[in-house]
Amino acid sequence: MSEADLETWPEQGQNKRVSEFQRFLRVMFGRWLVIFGTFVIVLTVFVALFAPQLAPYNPNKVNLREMIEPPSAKHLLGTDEMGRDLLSRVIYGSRIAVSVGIVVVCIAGVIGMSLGLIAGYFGGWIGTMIMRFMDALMSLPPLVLMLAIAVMLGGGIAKVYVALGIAFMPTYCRLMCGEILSIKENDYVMAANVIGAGHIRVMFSHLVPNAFPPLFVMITLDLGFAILAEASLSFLGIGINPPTATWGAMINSGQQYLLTNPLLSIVPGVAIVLLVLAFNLVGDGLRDALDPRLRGKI
Amino acid sequence: MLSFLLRRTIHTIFVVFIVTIISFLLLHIIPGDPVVRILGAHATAAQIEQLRHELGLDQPILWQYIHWIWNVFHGDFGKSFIYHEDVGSLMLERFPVTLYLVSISLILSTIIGIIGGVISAVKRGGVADSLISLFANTGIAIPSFWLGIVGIYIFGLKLGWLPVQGYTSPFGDLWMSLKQLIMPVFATSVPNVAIVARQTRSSMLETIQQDYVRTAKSKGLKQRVVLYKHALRNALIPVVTLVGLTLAFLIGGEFIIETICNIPGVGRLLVRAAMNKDYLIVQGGVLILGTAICIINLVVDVTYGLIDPRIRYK
Repeated sequence: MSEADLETWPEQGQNKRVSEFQRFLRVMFGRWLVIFGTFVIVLTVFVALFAPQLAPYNPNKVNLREMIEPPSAKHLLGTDEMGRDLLSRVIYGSRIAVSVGIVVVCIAGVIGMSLGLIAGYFGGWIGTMIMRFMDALMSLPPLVLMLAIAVMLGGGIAKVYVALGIAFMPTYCRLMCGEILSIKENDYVMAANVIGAGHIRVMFSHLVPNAFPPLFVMITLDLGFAILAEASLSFLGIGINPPTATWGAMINSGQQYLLTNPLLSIVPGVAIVLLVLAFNLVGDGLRDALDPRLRGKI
Repeated sequence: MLSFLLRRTIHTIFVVFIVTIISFLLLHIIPGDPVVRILGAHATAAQIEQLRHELGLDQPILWQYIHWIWNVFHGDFGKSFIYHEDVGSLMLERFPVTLYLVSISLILSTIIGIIGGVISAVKRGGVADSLISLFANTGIAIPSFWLGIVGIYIFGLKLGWLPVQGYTSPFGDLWMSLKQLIMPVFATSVPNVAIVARQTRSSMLETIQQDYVRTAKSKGLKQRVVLYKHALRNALIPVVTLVGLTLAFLIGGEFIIETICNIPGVGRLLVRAAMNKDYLIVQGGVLILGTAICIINLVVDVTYGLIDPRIRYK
């Protein structure tokens, strides 16, 4: 009650919010693993944005006189089977990785959360239908589902986005639905109903903002897992077409030249592991900072 | 118990029904005419008409579904246009190999993951915990196909300890079979070990704080008894009920490894079919795998309901 009284004083409320944010930052960046993760993510985004400036060569320039060369001063990581500079290709690969992460999470997040909101708020047969549909999607092995959708739609980066978006959707829907169901029971939601707030107002000014913390963690983790999933698809040669540099496809084409230049497969893999790990670490840090009670739930 | 069983079964049937709808619709999201895409550009008009009729695509969509599901119930998933064989029998031939590999990986990784998670939780904050947590975080981030390739490079090509690829039936040459098995099983298991270890750790930490664990401790039971008899059993419930999810995840890794290591399983069939746009195999694969996982989930849930009455009432 006293806290609510304080909130009526704008200045006091402001102060409280700042300190809350400071506490968040302190917990979040209190561990070096989270700092490391943030650093890797920021670095990758920077590399992706400035790939043309950073890459020493054109990533798609074929040079048949310099095929599969070991690392040298000219080509720091060597060249691939078409004489293309490996370092430049790894740098350009970050563009696909970052864009896949963002787009897929947007598609999966927006659709999944909206469906989860509807299912959790209205319930009834429509809620049941939505949730059973998600159960069905979740019972399919994600790789097989993505493979099937991407192949049926017929390749290309847009199809990969859609396929991954659908495969990543159910977790958002479930999480949102669960959150809404539990938040709905709160007194303030009942109070909002009593004063005659409409569905839209209850949903968007009372339910959604409170449901967001765990979803936020989920989004961070999925940015990494989407990148991992896209790597699997492009490793199998499905989706993004050559000669576009993607880490998954590079690992695949490099595996034939393991004895001459193993870096062709190893370096893109290390890039994937580092970036996905970074998102995991930051996601974990975020979870602990936002709400320690979420530990183990996500 | 009976009502729980009934409820879960109806739920599963409903979900399987939606899985069939999803698989059915897969053929309909193909842009353009799926029949032309299936047969390729060289098909004659008569062939196209014939296949269209065989697949029932000249019927209204509801009727198409009924027609298709009727065939599926009779074991007819259509014919692969590359192998010119029944999709069902193609799958069935390769199924034992995949089942063999997946079950070894699943059992192994679950056991190792649980042990790791328990150690991590019990020694919370110690060196072992830090190491296991770091492994758990990294393990999830490693693509299993990359691990497979690095493994092939180190143990197959450089050290020459393991065969690079291939599959031998364990009933033929057991020693060779085991040697060929190590790499694929290792590569598919690592991410799963990480997932299970994370889950076990957090679930175990939560259980240790429960009142009944404190009671058990304060009445003077040995720590070992408290941990393994009182805490672990309850901590494992969320871990084991997630087995369906981890299985679905494991199958994905397994399928790619099959293509890398040239193992004649369902995974290699499905991946090759996807690359060659052999749509009916992909559709059949989605349907069969989805249904199988639904049923496994049901079995796991019911078994757990039998063991733990609380689950029945959730």
